[in-house]
Amino acid sequence: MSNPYELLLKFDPQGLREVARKWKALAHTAETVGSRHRNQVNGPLHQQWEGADARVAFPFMARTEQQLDVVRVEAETVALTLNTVADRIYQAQTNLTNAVHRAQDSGLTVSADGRVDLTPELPEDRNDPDAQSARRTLMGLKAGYQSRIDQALKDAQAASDQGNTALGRLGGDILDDRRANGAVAETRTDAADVMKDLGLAESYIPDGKDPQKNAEWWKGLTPDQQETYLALDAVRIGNLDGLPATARDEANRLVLDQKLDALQAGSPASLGLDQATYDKRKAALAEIKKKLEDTADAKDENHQMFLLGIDPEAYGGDGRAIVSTGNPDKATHTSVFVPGTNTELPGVPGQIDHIRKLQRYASASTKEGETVAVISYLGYDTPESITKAANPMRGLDAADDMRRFSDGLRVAHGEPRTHLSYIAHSYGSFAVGVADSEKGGLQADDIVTLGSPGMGVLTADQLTVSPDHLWIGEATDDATRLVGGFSLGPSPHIVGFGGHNINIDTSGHGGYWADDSQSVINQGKIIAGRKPATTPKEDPLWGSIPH
Amino acid sequence: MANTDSGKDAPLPVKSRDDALSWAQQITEHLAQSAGITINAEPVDPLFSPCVGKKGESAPDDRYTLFYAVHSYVPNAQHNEVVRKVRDLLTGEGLKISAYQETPASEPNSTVIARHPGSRYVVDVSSTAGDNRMVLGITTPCLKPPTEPTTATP
Repeated sequence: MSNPYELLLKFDPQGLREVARKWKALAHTAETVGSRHRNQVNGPLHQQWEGADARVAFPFMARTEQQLDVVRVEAETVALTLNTVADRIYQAQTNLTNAVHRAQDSGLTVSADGRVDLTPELPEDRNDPDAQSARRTLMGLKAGYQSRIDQALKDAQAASDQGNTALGRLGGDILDDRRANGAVAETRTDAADVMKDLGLAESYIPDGKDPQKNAEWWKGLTPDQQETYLALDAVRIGNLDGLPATARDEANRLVLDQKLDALQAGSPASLGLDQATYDKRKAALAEIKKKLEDTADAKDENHQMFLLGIDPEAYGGDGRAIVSTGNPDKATHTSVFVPGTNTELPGVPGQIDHIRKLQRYASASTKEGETVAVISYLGYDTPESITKAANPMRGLDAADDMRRFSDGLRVAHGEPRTHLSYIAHSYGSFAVGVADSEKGGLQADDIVTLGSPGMGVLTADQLTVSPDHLWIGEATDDATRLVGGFSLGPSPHIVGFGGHNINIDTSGHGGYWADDSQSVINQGKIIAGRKPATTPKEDPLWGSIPH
Repeated sequence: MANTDSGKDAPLPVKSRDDALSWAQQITEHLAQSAGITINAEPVDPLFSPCVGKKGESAPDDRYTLFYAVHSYVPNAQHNEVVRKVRDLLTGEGLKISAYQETPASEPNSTVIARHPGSRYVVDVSSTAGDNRMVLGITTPCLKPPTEPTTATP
């Protein structure tokens, strides 16, 4: 049997890399097949198949997709492990051969098991001071080269051991048919544990603060590297503003599946949640997944949904979710809908209905061939109650993230620029106002407020958006009329604030999206870059006056 | 529409999705014919949305609204004439005009929005983005699908 020294000298990394390539191909196939199954089989069938057979078939199909997700992530993890081990042993081999060659060049010998030694001393050298001096020098070198050889062998052994430990985590039992839930969630912990085993926990992913840098980093990766990051670092990739919507969507859908599976496999106690929170979170994630699946068979990207962010644990458990209908990287018009008070994860499915409606109304008003994407942005910690909505802190805290998200939309879309608008409801209009009033603002072409309690500025000209492109909707019986002028700033619909009041024919604080309303038609026109029907600004004492 | 009671607790009109589509299509054809314009052959992209109450409440009976829009090539200079004709037509048919606007041909943004007091559908005929084109949109009130079971199989 060969000793470690001989083994390392003979090591051929191509063997491991070839196996890794095959695992990677398997991961790629699982991803492709899973995607096709979702979009071409499961999605279309969900639209039209009902009855007893369907009730049996759909869970089976969902499980098939789960198993393909499991195969994809586990195979990516195996490939990463094998490639990492191959690279490290190859590096150790290079260090070893360098040390051996340098030792031999110096006149030292290296034995078949990697021991460095001096050549036997010649009798005539014993009394030669120069020869003795040279031998003393060689003795010093010998120790150094031996140390380098030993280190190379140690590094190779460590890489091999790490690989062994990592691969040992990735057992085939994860696909055991008797296991109802938990396998998809386990892929995430498997990947994290393997990264830790391999010392890759700090693999380089940008800190996310600069969308332009994020985008450049992503573009610099090979498709293979991108696939690996998408499978093994989905949480961080899904959150990187500036990355293509398709990449974020792929990462976030995996995160959604992993989080939902963890909830289904766990219990409130095991997850540290109370029963109500557990039930609410599980139902909300399941409903978001269902909404995304509703458009799985969409005929084009304009009709597809893109999950741009998902984190059910964010904001103390209130949750974060950003969903787009239509691809914001390609749309002629992009709008970001920012909800307000008391909007948490369970409200996201309703927000998805809103944005689909807004997208369709806007599409009716565009030029022929133009496209529209509308995004539901639950990307800040909305106040849980009217009382908490009087506190400006949530809006102030939201500003940096919202600006970065906007910047990311601009970066990912590129030229020609999309026409970007914000539709902000309730406290969301305060958050949008704060974000747009400093540090370059939201880069929005138009901003709409609906039921605004104040925008955090005294007048529209303190915003970055042109006051001529600030549109304010306030229902006659909206309760926010009573709170303007307090902690969040003056009501924007009042004369003197600036901007334009738009026709609102709906009632109440939550009625702005009634289907048969001018309110929603007007929002659609603004998203499409059209002027809405306007109405005079209001005077708190004298009523509506021309502006 | 059989039901003309617009009270908030009134039973919803019952209509299948196909019937709602036909209904909206008939209204847009009627509008186009009356205004002397032709509906384009552009693909129609109807949207069925679940009915949701002001407080986010919903019912388990698949009630829905339909937004249906078609387009027509109309020179910008004729947009005012079209909205005028549509306004007069709809007023004569008993619809209530909720928004009306004529604009210069250089910045076409003409609009007429009307609501039928009984059927409660909404008509929106407007300029699109200055490309010699107009949209004819219909939004239905909340409708309830018939209750007979579906037996479709893939």
